[in-house]
Amino acid sequence: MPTIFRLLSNMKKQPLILFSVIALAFFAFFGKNVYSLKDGNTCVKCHTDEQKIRSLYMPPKIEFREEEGEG
Amino acid sequence: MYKGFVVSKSVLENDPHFSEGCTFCHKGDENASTRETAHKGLIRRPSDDPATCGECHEEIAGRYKTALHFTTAGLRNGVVARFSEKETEIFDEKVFEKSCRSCHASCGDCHVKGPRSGKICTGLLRGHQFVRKDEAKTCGFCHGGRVYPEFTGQYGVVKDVHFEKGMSCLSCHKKDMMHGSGDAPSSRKAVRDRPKCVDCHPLGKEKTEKAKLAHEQHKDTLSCTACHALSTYKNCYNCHIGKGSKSKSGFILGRNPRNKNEVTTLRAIPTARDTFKSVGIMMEKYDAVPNYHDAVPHVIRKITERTNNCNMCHLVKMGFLNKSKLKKGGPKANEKLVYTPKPIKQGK
Repeated sequence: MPTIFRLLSNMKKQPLILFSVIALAFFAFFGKNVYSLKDGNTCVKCHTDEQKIRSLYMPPKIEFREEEGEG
Repeated sequence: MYKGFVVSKSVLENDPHFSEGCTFCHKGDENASTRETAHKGLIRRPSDDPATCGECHEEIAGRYKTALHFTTAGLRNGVVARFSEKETEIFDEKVFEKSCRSCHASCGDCHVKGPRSGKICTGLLRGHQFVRKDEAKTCGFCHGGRVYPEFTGQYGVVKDVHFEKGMSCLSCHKKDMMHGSGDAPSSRKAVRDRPKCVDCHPLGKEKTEKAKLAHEQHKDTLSCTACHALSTYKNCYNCHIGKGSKSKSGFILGRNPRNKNEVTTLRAIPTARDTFKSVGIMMEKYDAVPNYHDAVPHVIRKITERTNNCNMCHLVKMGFLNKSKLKKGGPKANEKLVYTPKPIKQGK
């Protein structure tokens, strides 16, 4: 019998392992959307909207000094 | 620049750093409906406290707390030798924490958003992607006054040969050195594993007999840069709190202040007697410390006017400090750095 079927038949005998495998597979397929940055996150809504950020941006006030350099 | 606040959508999908949401690092309220409430309690620069990154990168963040780019200890220790105890206290309170220390690099300054210089910042490196390195926007922005433009040929007439061959800052200044070794060095000269030319160019492996002989004869008495730094490099003079300093190009050779037996390239230190006068520091020990430090100008070339012609040093004495060239009104300790090369004996 191929290994995969042997493994699955063993799992039937061990419900906990079977449950874990199914839960893991479920999470792998759908878990990405459990927490989605795209939906409902206001930080993302504004900070990915270039036009909006541009309209809100206030440039810093720069106090010009004599030449300075570091490094 | 507004782009410093625009996050790339594709980065959000692909960079695992966003798996915990924005507020994991920045706090604030990501469910708020107004700008004000969303930004309440916001931490603009979360990695100013390395513990934020340490939640996941515990080992590196722990070491980085002791690294020079974070402690800026070199800036402090370079100058306090000129102060009395009382003056050191004033300096720590009024100058170091408010000025020098504000220049420290956070994790994010190198990996997320270009560092600030004054109030100017180059913005997010790649739409808030966490990048391993981007030397031009990070190293180059803080070290853009001297080393970076020298290295890339934007200051002098030539590029550093290492840059020309495709090397960048991190080729020599390795990430482990930048992240710190955990031993909190007092200055960059004390950094363990700091790059040495001989790491890549070991003595005895020279391609020509002339080079081999020159290296043997000057071993331990001359730094590599004394011969292999080409062109002039930037020196700053006459710095005053709130006013800055004046820069001037030059090429200076003299005794290494940390090793009197070695002649090396020196860079002027801009501290003047009254640099800190406005905060009540008169520098009681000003004369004890020289106004030049041993420097590695990043204008390295295999062949220079000095490697080509021994007489440039031994006869012409090009670049060597002498009493007339010393800074006027500078500390007495400067005089100890004067070195006069001897003429080459006949038959040598």
